[in-house]
Amino acid sequence: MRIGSSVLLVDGYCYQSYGWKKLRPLGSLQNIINSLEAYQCDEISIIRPVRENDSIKAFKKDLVIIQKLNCMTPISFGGGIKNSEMVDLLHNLPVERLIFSSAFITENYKPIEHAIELYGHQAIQCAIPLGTLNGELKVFHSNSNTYISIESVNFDMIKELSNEIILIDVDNEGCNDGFNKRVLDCIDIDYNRLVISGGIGRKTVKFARNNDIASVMIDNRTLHSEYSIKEYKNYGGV
Amino acid sequence: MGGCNNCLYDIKHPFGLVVSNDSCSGCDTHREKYTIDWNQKQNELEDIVLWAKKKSVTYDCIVPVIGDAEDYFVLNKVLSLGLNPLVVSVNDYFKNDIGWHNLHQLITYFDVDSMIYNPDVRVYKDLVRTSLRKFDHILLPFLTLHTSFPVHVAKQRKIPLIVWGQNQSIEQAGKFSHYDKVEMTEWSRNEHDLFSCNIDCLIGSGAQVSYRDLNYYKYPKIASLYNKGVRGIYLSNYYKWDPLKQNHSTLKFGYKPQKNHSSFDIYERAGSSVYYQLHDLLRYKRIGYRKVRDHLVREIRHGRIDKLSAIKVEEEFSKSGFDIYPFFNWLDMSKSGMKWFIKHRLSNYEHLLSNGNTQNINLPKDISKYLISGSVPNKGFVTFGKGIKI
Repeated sequence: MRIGSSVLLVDGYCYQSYGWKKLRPLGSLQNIINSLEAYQCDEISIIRPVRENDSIKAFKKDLVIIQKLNCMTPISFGGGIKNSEMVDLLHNLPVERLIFSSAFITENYKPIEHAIELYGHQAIQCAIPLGTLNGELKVFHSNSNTYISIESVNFDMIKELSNEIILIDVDNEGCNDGFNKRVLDCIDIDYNRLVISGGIGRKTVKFARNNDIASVMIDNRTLHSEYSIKEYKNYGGV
Repeated sequence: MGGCNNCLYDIKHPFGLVVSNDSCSGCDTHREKYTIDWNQKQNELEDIVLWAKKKSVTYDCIVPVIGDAEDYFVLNKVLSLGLNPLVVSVNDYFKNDIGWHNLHQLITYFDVDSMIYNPDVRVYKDLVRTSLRKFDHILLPFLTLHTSFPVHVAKQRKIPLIVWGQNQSIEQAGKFSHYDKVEMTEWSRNEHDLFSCNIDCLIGSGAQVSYRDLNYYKYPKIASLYNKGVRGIYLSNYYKWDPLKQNHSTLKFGYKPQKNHSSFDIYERAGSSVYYQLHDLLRYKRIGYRKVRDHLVREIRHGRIDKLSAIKVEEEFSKSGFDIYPFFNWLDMSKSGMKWFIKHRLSNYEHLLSNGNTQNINLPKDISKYLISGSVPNKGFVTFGKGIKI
């Protein structure tokens, strides 16, 4: 099982998210990457937490930061990739995987298919943010900043077009060991194609390891103590 | 997304700041202090103390100090927790007689073992010169050592715990929740203490010094720290942190505050010949405000002054001048070099280059009750504390 870390990038600066509601500043992306590499992090997800007010200018600004990254660890990148032209802009970036969310949710498959042509099926990840609204688990649609029902998402196409699916527990993002295992029930898929994120703590790592989940993405907590990934690996028996 | 409605910070804060619903991450995090179960926090701290005592063979912990009021508070807490500390200090060569008094008083009053590291002055001055030239900063070499030397000592002497006072990134910008219990990391050091300017940035095209002279300026390999089981904690995650009140309470231990024309805070960094002089001027140049703003924001959050009054107080203190010439003498800079530096690097601040005083600034009683008349230093830039002058 891989143990990775996710980082939120907004306007070239990194932030931490608490429960998908509150942002706190974090720091420069390169400094963060340097430490995650030193911690022997298996992969790093750089996510732009964009909403409907995202612009191509902001997208390009973030790409410049990523292009300059000095990093040996595999990087996944996503957030706001809405069309094939934006996929083309990702060429020559030091990233291994591309993450799509709203494109899958709105069944806007053109940019995804274009990305498959350019980078291959193995490079495609689908991020499904899930949160509880009025006691019911729902999918968060980032571009429209609203929650929609799980049933309205075409999981068959997600399974077909993406290599891995990232299930994000938005309610517990930033909380230690708060990951809600109910989010795993929203999709019928082999766990070895699943990546889980949001409230990952040491116990969740152990649970993921015991259930052969492909990867866990630890959010805010990786930089809270020195060499933290090693702690997670030791505890989870990874 | 501009400034905070409550305090004086805006999103250009050097640590980064998020403003949402007109309130900044620093103010939001400060509010946690009123809802946290501090007894629970005390229990968590006691667990760490037990862990350290079980693991230690000589000293239980290191307390890195500069002789500040906060160091007195921290050391007192550490001793009351039953820990056996080694006090470690790095000579910044900027102390005045008050600074040395405070450092020696700290060690003798609490009767603790100590270690003072005096870095090679030649190398240190070279690094200060480069730091000034490249980054408009004169404390980077000291901060580099202050945040790495105690970690080297902990690793070499197998001391499991390093106890720091406040986590500035939380206290000022609310970068983490108190519940996160963030610990000392190399990342935090680079991001918050050194502003991404580590020792590699100060050599090469800068100071012509050998790598072997820089051993303690570099942070130890974190894998080796992990193997040795060294960790560092911040006491501000475990106590309801209130610097002005805490620092005032250290007077009973013999701490000597210093009269200050740049801020009402007579406690923080008392005993430094540069902190409220050239260092504060360069801070003003780099980030657009002086240290007094940090002090006022802190007091706004503690409810001891309102925002409008704080703005007026900041305006008043911002008129005070800086005496920068003693620093240049310490740096062995020629008069023509000084003139060149002022003309080309401080041209917009020449009106502040006089040791002008500020007088009769009205402060709310809630602040002034913690203030006394600070001492005036007799001698600046005392290289060593025990009478040796080179």
